[in-house]
Amino acid sequence: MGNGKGNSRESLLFLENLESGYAKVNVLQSISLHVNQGEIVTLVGANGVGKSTTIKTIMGIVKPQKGRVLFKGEDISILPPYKIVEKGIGYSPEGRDVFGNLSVYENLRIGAYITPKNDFDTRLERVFTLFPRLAERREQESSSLSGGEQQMLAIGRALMQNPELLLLDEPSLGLAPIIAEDIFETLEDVNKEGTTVLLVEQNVNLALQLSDRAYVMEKGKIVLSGASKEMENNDYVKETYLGISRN
Amino acid sequence: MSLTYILQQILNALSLGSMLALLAVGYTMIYGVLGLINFAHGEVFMIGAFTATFVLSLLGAPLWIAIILAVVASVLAGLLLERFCYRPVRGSGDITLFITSLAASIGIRSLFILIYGSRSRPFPTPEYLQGIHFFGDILVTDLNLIIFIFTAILTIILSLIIKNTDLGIAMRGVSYNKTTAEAMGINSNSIIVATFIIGSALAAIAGVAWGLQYGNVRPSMGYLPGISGFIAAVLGGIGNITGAAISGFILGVGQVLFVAFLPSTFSGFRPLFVWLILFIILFIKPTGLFRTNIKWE
Amino acid sequence: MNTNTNTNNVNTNKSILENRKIMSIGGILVLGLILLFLENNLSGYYHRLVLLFGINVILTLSLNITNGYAGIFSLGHGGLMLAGGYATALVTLPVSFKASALNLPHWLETMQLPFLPAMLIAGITATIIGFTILLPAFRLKGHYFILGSLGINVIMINIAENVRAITNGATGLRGAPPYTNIWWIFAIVVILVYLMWTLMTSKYGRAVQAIGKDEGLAQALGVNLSKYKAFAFMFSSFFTGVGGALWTHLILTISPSSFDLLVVFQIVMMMVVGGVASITGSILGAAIITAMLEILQPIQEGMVLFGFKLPQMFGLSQVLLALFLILIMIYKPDGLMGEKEFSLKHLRFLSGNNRE
Ligand SMILES: Nc1ncnc2c1ncn2[C@@H]1O[C@H](COP(=O)(O)OP(=O)(O)OP(=O)(O)O)[C@@H](O)[C@H]1O
Ligand SMILES: [Mg+2]
Repeated sequence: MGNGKGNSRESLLFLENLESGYAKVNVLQSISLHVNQGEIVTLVGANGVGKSTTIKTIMGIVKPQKGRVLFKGEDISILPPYKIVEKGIGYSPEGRDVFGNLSVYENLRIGAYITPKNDFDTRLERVFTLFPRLAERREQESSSLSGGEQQMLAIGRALMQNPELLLLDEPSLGLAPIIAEDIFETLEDVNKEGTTVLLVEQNVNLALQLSDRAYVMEKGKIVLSGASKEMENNDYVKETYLGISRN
Repeated sequence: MSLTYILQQILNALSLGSMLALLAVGYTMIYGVLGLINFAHGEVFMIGAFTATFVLSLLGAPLWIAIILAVVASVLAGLLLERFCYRPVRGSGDITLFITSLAASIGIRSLFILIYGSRSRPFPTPEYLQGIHFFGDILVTDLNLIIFIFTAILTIILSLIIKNTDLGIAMRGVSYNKTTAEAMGINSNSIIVATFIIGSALAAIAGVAWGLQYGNVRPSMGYLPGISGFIAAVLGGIGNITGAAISGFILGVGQVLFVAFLPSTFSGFRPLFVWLILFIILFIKPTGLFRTNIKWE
Repeated sequence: MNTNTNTNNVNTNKSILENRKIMSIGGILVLGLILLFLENNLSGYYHRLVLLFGINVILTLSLNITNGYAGIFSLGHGGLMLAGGYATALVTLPVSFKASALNLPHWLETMQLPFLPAMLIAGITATIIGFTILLPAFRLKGHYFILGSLGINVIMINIAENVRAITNGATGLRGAPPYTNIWWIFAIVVILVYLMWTLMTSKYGRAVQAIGKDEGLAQALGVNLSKYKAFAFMFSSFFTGVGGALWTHLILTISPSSFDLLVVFQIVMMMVVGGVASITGSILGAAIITAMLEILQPIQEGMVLFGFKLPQMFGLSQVLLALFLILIMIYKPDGLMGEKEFSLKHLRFLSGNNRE
């Protein structure tokens, strides 16, 4: 298990002093983090601290003002999003963002847009095995799916890209606990099959159980990082994010 | 008013309906991916018609070559518009985009007036297309039939492409949410370009059909058909290709029937009729006749 | 919203208002002197240019009320100008013309009004037309509305072409009395600027501008959208009709093609080039485009350059204007003035209006 002590520059993903934000708001203030091959890393923090912004900056949706995003040693921060996808990064956006006008199957085809077509069926099969509900609703228009189903679809769509690195922005948002746990189990399977995962979560408890390492973000900065096991026992994390008081 | 008469009028209207359908489909597709009323679409149509006129009358080339070159010219015009007018103003608001397309429309039309003058030029319709047949009392012109069948085939092929191919699905994805589509690996610029290519090609074919049917072309020929095409796109539920095509037909046939049924003193009020229909329909159903809003069918 | 600050400011506002009054009266006097000078010293061509500029200012400001401030983008103003033009022509044309060319009810045939009532009738007619056609269109959003407004042009042109008994068909009406002069035009400019300025800083005006900025927000703040939109549109229609009347009594004829989409396009240009939602911007835009059109006109008609007769180049000015507009849209989409007014701070200070 990678505990983060290795050389960051050799990591699969490495954010180096990243600064980024929107028209007039600077959100990220020199973020540095890395994700090693095969890991599940989670990024936790309160609302509005810049977790989604971090993910969007990796995806090239938001352009960084300073710093670099290295993926397999290559600076991808200047690339447009669709090129970043081609490099092997899959993305499941916050709030699901499925194409509501497309069917489940069509959404998954968009997921596979850039990949070779010969093993399309195998990947579709894999997604349908991971999320049997999607198979049942294959031809249904995705705007009429339930929230949980849409979340499965968003993850499935990203998996259709066969990504080396999967970015997940709050996959448990708005889901019933049981469904959230369901999805997290699936993520574990996906990870075991070789996909590296960077996960943004508000459900800190669940996220720490699943992940190998964690970063805690506050007001655009990383304030704490380490192995998830240690984090679970960290007083500050306990008090602030797990709602367990110190005494 | 006999049934034969009504049938006859509907048959006469087939070609006009077809042209409006082709224009409407282009409008609706471009609106779908860009959120832009491409006001210059009527000019793209005019460029196709002009190109065919020149190829036919100056080069004396066969019709199919004229059609191909018309498509090439219109597609080129569409691409130039996209690249040099619309792309630079993308993201600075709907109204800015619209004003740009209005300017492009008037600019292109005026450029053609500047070069060729504003008067009509004859469009040489090949003799083999001028055949007519009688079925009982009903007169059918070859041209009407050919234009209609050609349009129907094109529309069906297009809707199959939109329904089933990666390109079609990507187009629908981009029109739903461009940012997310990009984050799924779709280069939205290429999708927009592809949309302009298809839309402009259809406009060119409509332009050639117009020349064949009415026998002349002029720089301002795109204005009213362009607006009618857009009306059809709105009635069809913007973004809905089948809806646009059907509405184009309805609008074309409706105009002709309007003239046919009312005393001749009213025949000048055809545009008024089109707009009244539009207002009435939009008043009852503000989103158009068919399912709307970037839900491509 | 800011009732507290407003009541606190009442006293200062009073003296500021006094100041403003003096300033305004002074300004009008200066304008009057300038106009008197122009009236007496300009030759026919330049004199006419000043008149055109003035009418264009009226039309641009009127268009700006809807398209700029209220954010309801209309292309239908050509139809409203047409309504105003025909209305004024019908009540001022020589009885002999009306009797021979048209088929009017007796009261209208014999009607011969002076300019002021004729202009009012023009404005009211345009308002009524704008209102009737726009009433259904208000249900439409965004692009659908643009389309609907375009319909006003097409419908009005269509009616003008076909209701021959009243409009004389495609030939149009000739022989309108030459009422339009520098004083009428600029008196209306002054009235319009005054009304706009007062309105835009009033509660009504702010509501209208709120709609222009963000419809959802305006609605959330409890602004009754349809009411204000309708108000803005009627205000705009009235002065557009008056503009059409001034135009008609300058050109002395009116026909279905007098105010087609090209004319609307030119006015849109004046508005956009100067600055959407800016009074001084509209005036600036009207000046620039009027000048450009006038400079291009002789070239277009084939002028003689260094002894060579250049060929006629109809369409040239539209081509160049279109190019110019596209460049503006790309590089300066808010126009030259943006939403600002000339010497903004100064004016705001005088009006005691210190919001942001
Ligand atoms: N498109 C945008 N334009 C301007 N500001 C934005 C935009 N998106 C986010 N922000 C601001 O950037 C900050 C960080 O937002 P971000 O979405 O990254 O937060 P987050 O950590 O993901 O929060 P949450 O847990 O609520 O999803 C917030 O203050 C937010 O208001
Ligand atoms: Mg977030």
